[in-house]
Amino acid sequence: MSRLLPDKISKILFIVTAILMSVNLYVIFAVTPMVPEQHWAQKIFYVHVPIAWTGFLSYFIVMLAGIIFLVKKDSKWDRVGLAAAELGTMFVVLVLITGPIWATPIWGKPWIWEPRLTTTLILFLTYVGYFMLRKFGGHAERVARLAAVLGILAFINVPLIFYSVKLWTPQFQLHPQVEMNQQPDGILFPFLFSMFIFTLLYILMMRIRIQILNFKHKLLTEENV
Amino acid sequence: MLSVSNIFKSFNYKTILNDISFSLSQGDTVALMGKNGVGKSTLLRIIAKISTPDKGDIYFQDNNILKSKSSTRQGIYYCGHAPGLYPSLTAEENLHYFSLFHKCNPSSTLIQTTLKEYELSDALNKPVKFYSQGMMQRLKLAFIEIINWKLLLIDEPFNGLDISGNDFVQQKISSWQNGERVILFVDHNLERAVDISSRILLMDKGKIAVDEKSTENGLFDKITRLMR
Amino acid sequence: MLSVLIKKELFVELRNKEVVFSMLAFGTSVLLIFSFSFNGNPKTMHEIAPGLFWTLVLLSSSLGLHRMFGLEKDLDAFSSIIASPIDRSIIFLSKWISGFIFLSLTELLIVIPFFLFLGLSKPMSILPGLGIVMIGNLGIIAVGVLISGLGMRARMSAVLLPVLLFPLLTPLLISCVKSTAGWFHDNPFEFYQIWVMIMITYVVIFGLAGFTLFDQITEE
Repeated sequence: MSRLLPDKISKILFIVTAILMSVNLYVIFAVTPMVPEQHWAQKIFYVHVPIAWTGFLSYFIVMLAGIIFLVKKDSKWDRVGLAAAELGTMFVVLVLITGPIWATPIWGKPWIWEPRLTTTLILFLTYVGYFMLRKFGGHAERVARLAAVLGILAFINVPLIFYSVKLWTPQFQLHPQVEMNQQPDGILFPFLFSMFIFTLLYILMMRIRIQILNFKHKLLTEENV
Repeated sequence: MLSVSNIFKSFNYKTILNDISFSLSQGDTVALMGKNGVGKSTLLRIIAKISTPDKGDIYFQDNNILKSKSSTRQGIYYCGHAPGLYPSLTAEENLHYFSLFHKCNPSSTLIQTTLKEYELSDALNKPVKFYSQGMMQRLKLAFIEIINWKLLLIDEPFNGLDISGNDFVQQKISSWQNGERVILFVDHNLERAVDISSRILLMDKGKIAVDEKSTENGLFDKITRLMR
Repeated sequence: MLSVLIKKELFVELRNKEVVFSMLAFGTSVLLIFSFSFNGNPKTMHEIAPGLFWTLVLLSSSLGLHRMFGLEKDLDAFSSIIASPIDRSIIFLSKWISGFIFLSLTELLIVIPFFLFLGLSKPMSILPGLGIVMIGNLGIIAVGVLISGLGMRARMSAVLLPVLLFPLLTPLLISCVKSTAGWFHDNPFEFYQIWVMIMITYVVIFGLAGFTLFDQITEE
């Protein structure tokens, strides 16, 4: 444990996140009001939307890390990019699972081409290619450069995908979350709270993952000396 | 003319080039030596900007070629292990395009006579994919004759040549050196390297271990020891 | 220098006919599969023709792009090119333009059997369709050159290319199909101009991305 959480900030973050996440789960299940027509299905939104947010945030960080890497050529930023790509993909997979769980009772079928869900799917597929490139691209220093470029391309594509899918399927309305700010406080505050906790969780996971990758890198370079 | 400073390069985080610095001036014919896998080819490819160093700078005629426009690299010619040609084009066509890429425009008579000198006139109109290893090697050397360069980077020019080919190339290298150019070549044969070059660089463990004039006393023993 | 590079690309292709021929041969066999799999009534065929066309183009282009960089790798001509005093962004432009020419040429050759085999009726006007296809080609090749440059030295580059290329091309594909359908089904331009706009935006964004990022991916 002390290896994964070597510094004070990570330790505090871990404890805070653990406590607040339990509170968050309790609030979601026991405190928030039921939405009449959606019943239990609606509750998944307290999880679905925050993980979608962290997933996209993570892919955004891949792009940022990629740009910084290409400018500074410091392998540290490659590891940040890799960590963000891995976590982003994990969150995005969860989004693609939780989306249909909500959609099945509400829309009557598990998959429709809702713009944000579609964008998520396409990003996920792009990242399947990203990890293949990481595996087959050649030596580590070259792969780092290629992955940085691909991370940038993948994210600048997001607005284009979203906009074109939205125009492509005008019959599908966006998730109800667009009108989240019009929701009663009983739903809005727990929702924002959950967003906050998942962001904390994401930051903690990033720290740990980068820690592990740094450690691996250190082992590898020491081995080679 | 060429100044290489503090070049680092690693593959899979294994350091190959560990702080390489040297400079070459007009008239130098330099043999780059070292054990297999020490990074001689990598160094040449970095100077040719085919490969990127992790750190370091390279100055050619006072321009940092890693950071400035590509035109500052004009005058550098790299001749590697691979032919570096388009397989479906003939020798003449390959020559035509690659000399244009190096911003020179040789007359077709020059191309013809050079190819003749390199005993390639029979194969003039054959696509290079039908060439034998030896023909490919001679064609690569013909390029050096035709393209204008000031700095020549040539990776193992004697690879796979018979005795007469060996003598031919040896004589060619000295004829290319007109006192204003720099030739940096990789070679494994110490006697030959001493013969041709004016200076010898020996790489060992990612560093330049020896950098001395070829006429230096005791150089032979020193290098033999390090190469073993 | 750009014109010399493009001349070289065209000359090599004229000698080999590898890129266009592989796209054409593959495209024709895909077309054959289409003709047998979608043996619908003329109305249905008319309806889905734009989608079929772009599917055909996308599948063939990934093959052609792979070949475009394959012949640079055969005798490592690419190293000689990047060692020459030429800006990498110019190399990107030359590949972009020549790839565009190859793809357009292939489409030109395949469009007649496409109409014949699928039993499609002639469109009312040719010009808008031509424009749409040209913009679409520019977009496909811009991303295609970037991605095949990215994967050219990788193992399994033949697999990597479509896996990376197709998701990145989705917004372009959607707008290509939509605008082509708009034109092919005789809608007024206002109905599908938004899609043409998206296509142009896509071409500009990825053209610029290729121009600036190609330097990062060419070196080994």
